[in-house]
Amino acid sequence: MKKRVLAALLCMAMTTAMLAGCGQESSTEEDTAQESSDETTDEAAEDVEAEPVETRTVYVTPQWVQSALNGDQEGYEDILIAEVGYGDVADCVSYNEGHVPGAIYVDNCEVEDATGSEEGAYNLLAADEVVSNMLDHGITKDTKVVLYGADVSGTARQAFAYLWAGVEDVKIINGGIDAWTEAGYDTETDVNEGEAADDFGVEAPAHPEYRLDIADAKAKLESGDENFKLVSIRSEEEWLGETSGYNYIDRAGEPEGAVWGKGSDSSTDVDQFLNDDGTVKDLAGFEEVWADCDFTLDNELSFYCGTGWRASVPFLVLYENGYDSISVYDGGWYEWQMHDDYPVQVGDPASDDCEHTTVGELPTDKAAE
Amino acid sequence: MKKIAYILALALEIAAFAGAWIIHYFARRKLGMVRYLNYKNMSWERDYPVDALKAACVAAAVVLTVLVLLLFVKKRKEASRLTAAMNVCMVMLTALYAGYTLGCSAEVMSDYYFISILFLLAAAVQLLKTGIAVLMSGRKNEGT
Repeated sequence: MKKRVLAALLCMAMTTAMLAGCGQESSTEEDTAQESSDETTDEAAEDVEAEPVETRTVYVTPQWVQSALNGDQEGYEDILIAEVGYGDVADCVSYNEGHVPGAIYVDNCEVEDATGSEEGAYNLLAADEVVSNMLDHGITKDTKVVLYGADVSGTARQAFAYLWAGVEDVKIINGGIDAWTEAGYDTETDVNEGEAADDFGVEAPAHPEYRLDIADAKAKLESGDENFKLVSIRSEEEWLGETSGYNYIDRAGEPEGAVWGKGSDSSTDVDQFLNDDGTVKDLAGFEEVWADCDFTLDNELSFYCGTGWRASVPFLVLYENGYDSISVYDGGWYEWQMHDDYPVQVGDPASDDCEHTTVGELPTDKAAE
Repeated sequence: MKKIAYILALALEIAAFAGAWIIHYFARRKLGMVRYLNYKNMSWERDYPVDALKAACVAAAVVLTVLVLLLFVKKRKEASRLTAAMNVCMVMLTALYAGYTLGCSAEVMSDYYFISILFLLAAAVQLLKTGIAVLMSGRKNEGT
């Protein structure tokens, strides 16, 4: 028995020693790399030059953010930078590994339902709840908020919610933390918190017109208004009803009358809206993606996807380019397929194979693997 | 044979707790995991009488634990130290399962049902193991 205990202790000691050794070696290498990158970082941060941007501009470069931090962007001396993630700050790997200096952490669940219940359906929370969560971070309608996050559409969702609630100037670092570090700027690992505020400054939501609920979307589709287009920002497989795209949605299809706005290769990306370096395309890039779609930018456009994340990206790009007849149908396919009597189309509506039916008639074996 | 069965049972208990930890880890970090758990919670609540099942499982676990414990007290002079330790573990695991199942809910934790099932698995294995050990206590003495 004693021998076994001794052998086990010896194994543990050897493993610990090996792990400690590996850690020490890499930390020495990291220290050297850190020293040289610190010098580059300081130079990059001091020498930055960036053109001013409009209030409505959403996607900004890391250089613009750094120049704002340097005090070189008039009106943006007090920006509040926030990393968007899902869950508690302690569980957010990307924030804890290194974030933009001074950045606080904001949770997607502060703006949207996290239960998926019939009442919540992953829609935006009630405006007063969203505002209360923003005030906890010190965000009011006048705060210049700069967001970024590991998930392009999750970050867009947060920005959309803030704009809907009434924050007047919301920006996103295009390319996120990768673009930030590639620009040569520093990161930090301290957890920052905003100073709570008590007055948002405007009744929320200040822009209810940015969001369509399910009843609005259905009424608009049934109104026969040919100028209105409900645009699906989903993958081809989802659009054609081959899969729901999600392991938590059994039925596949689209609201009857919807048109396809592409953008995704799967339910978890907006890759077709991104450049090769991971930054969101400009309007010209979006127009290229939409070249053969059944809508134009002169239409009244309401974007939707599964639960409102992917749809927020085209909304923001059109918003920053001055378009006003735009919205997000918040509930997306998730909420639509909860209503058995709602009309759906399965397949390309331009083809003869497109099936027109109701949610209740759809097969329930279309959940993604 | 007895030793192998004991090790397998222990491995199963450890696997149950590891599974619970892994599910909880991802449920706190991954949107997809949370949404899948929400979906499963809603499906189970719709398709099965989950409240009745919960109550029945907790009651069965507690009653069996008490029975094994009473049997152990009755045979404590013949039981080994290991059997006594197994009884302590059994009480702890049953208390953990019952406490978690009755004290928490799917509204508070999206992984509630999964964790509850895994805690039940660990408690059931411990109960079975301990029950057999208590029943077999003193058999060696009888043989000699």
